[in-house]
Amino acid sequence: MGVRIVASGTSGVTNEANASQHDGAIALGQAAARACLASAGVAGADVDILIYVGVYRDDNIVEPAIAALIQRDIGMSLDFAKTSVAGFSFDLLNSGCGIVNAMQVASAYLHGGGVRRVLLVSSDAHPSGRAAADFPFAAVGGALLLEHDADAAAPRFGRLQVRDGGDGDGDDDDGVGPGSEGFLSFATAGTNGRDHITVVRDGDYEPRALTLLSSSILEYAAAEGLNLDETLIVTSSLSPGFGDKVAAAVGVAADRVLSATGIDTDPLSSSLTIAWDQAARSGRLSGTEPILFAAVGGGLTSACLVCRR
Amino acid sequence: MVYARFESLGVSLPARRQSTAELLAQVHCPTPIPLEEFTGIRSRRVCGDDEDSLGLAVAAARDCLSRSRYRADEIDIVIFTSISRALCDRPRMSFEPSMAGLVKRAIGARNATHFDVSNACAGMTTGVQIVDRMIKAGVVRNGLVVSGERITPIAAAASAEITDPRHQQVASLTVGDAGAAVVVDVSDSPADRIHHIELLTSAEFSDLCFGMPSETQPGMAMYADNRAMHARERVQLWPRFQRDFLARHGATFASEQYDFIVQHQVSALAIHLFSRCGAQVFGQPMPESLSVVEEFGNTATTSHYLVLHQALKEGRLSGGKVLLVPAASGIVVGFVSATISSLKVA
Repeated sequence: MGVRIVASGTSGVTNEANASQHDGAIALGQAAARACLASAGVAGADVDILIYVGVYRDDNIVEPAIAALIQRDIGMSLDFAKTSVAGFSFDLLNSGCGIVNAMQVASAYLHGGGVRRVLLVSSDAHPSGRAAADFPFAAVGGALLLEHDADAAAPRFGRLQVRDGGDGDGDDDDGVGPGSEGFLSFATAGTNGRDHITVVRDGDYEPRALTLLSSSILEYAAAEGLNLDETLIVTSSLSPGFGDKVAAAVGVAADRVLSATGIDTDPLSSSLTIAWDQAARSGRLSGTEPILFAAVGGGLTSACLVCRR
Repeated sequence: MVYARFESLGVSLPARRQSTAELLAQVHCPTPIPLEEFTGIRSRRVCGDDEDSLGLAVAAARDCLSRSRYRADEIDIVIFTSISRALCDRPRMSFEPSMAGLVKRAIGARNATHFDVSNACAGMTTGVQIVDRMIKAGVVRNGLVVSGERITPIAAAASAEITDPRHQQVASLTVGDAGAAVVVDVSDSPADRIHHIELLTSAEFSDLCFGMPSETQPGMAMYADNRAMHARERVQLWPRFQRDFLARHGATFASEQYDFIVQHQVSALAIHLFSRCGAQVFGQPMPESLSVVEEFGNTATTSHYLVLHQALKEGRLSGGKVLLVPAASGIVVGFVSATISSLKVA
C-alpha cells in the first residue's frame, strides 16, 4: 500500500502580500486548505484527518487546536450528531520540520486504509494579524492532500531521519543554543499578549542550519542508498537562494533542489509545501525519481524523509 | 493484527498544594462562587516560580522511564502534548523550538524523532493514538508521550476577571498543575493491550472554548462557554460515537465488559453528567468511575493518566479493562479501551 500526494495549494505567495499583511494565520491556513481541496476536486467533508503544522498563530491561541478552526471552515466533520462523519484534527508543532513529521504521521494513519485522506495545513503569521518589521517569517499558508493508494506500485514514504544541532548526540550539555526561538514574554507584552511575539534568530543561524541540513541529507542518502543526482530534494527556504546553497553543499546540480521562490522571507512551516506547489505547477514533479523532503528549523533540528515513486 | 499497549506510566506533581478555599479568597467576585460544592474539587497542585511545563514533563518522563524496559536511548519517538508551553527561565510561552526536542535532550533520548502535539485537553491521548498508529504501520517500535501542564496561571487571570458565578472563566478555577508520561509499545498479550483508541473532532463547536493571553492581566486565560459545551447534544457525542464504532465492529458496550471508566476530570458534577449520558445512550449502567478530581482538580491533558497512576498505586487496576473518555475543546471526544495487567507505578 502507498501514499499519494494528490494536490497542493497555497494562500498566495507574493512579497507585496507580506508587506501589507492583513490576514492572520488561521485565515491563511483556511485559504490554502480551500485552494488545495479545489485543486483536488475534493470536498472538505471527504477529508478524514487534518493536521495543522503552523507555529505562529492568531492571538497566540493555545486552545483549541488551530486545526479545528480550519476544519470547521472547510466543512469537514462538523457535528457528528447530525452527520455521523467522524473526522479528526490536531496541531503538530516542530518549527520548519513539522511538515516532514506530519507526512510520516499521515502515512501511518493512511496505512490501514481505514483513513483515506489526510490534509496537511500550515501557516505562520504575526499573532496580531498585521505585518511586523521584527517578525522574520512570511505570512503565508500551504496545504497538501495525501491519499491512501492500495496499488502495489503506489509511492511510499521511507524512514524518517531526525538530527539535532550541536554535537548531534542529543545530550543537553553541548552548549549550543536552538538557533531560532519564538516565544511570548508576558514581562515584555504585559496585557498585549495577543499582539506580541518575540522571535530571536542567532546571527549564525543560517550557516549552522545549512551545515546541519546538508550533512543530514548526505547521511540519509548514504543510509537509504539514494543517488542524489537522480533525486529531487524539496527543502526549506531560510532566505532567497537557500535551495542553491543546499545544492552546492551536498554537491548536486541546482535544478535537483526545489525551494520556495518569489518570496524574500522564510515561509517556515509552509516552506516545503510552497516548494512542492510551485514545482507541481511547473511540471517538475512529473517524473518518477525519488523525492527527498529535507527540512531544517529551530532546535536546531533537521528532518529527512524520502518518498519513492 | 498489531496492537499497542501502555508499557510504562509516570507522573510528576508540584509540591505546593492549594485548597479551593485559598483560591477563592483571591477571587474578586461580589457573589460567592460555590466552587467546591459544584465541582467536588477540594485542592489542586500549583507550580512555584521555578517549575514549568518542561520541568514537569521531564520529571514525569524520568519517572516513567525508571520503570520501563526501555532506556532513554531506545525510545523511537518523543511527543510533547501539553496545552501550556511555559518555560520559567526568562518566563515565557514557547512556540519554537519544539518542547519535545527539549524533553528529548534532557532525558537523553538521542535516537528518537520528536514533535509537539497540541489538541487542547485531548493532547496526550492524541499523542497516544499517533504512536498506536505508527506502531501498527511498523514505523516505530515504541514512543514516549509526555505532557507538563503549568496551567494554573489561567486561574490567576480568572480570579481577577470573574464578575459572577456563571462567568466564562469560572472553569479556569478548576485546573491544577501536573506532568504525566507514558511509554507505548507493541502488545504481545490481550492482557496488556490498547484494544481501541478512536478520536473525533466535531468542529462545528470549535469556538466554544479558547485558551489565549488575557487582555487585562499579563498571563494566559481561558474563556469557555460551559453551558454550550455541556449541552446534552455535545455530551452525547462520545457515547454515540463509541456506540456506532462498536456496532460496526460487531460489539456492544455490554460485550466490551469494562471494569472501570475514566472520564476527563472536569469536575465531579461533569463526570457524573458524562457517565449518566453514557448510560442513557448505551442503555447500560456505567462501570465504576475512577477519579482524582477532588484532590488534583482538572489537570488538562494529563488528567486520565493521573487517574490511572493513582488507581495503580492503590493496586486497583491489575488485569482490569479500562475505558478512558477524553473531552476537549475542538470539540474532541473519543475513547481508549485498554486492558492493563503488567503496568506498575511503585
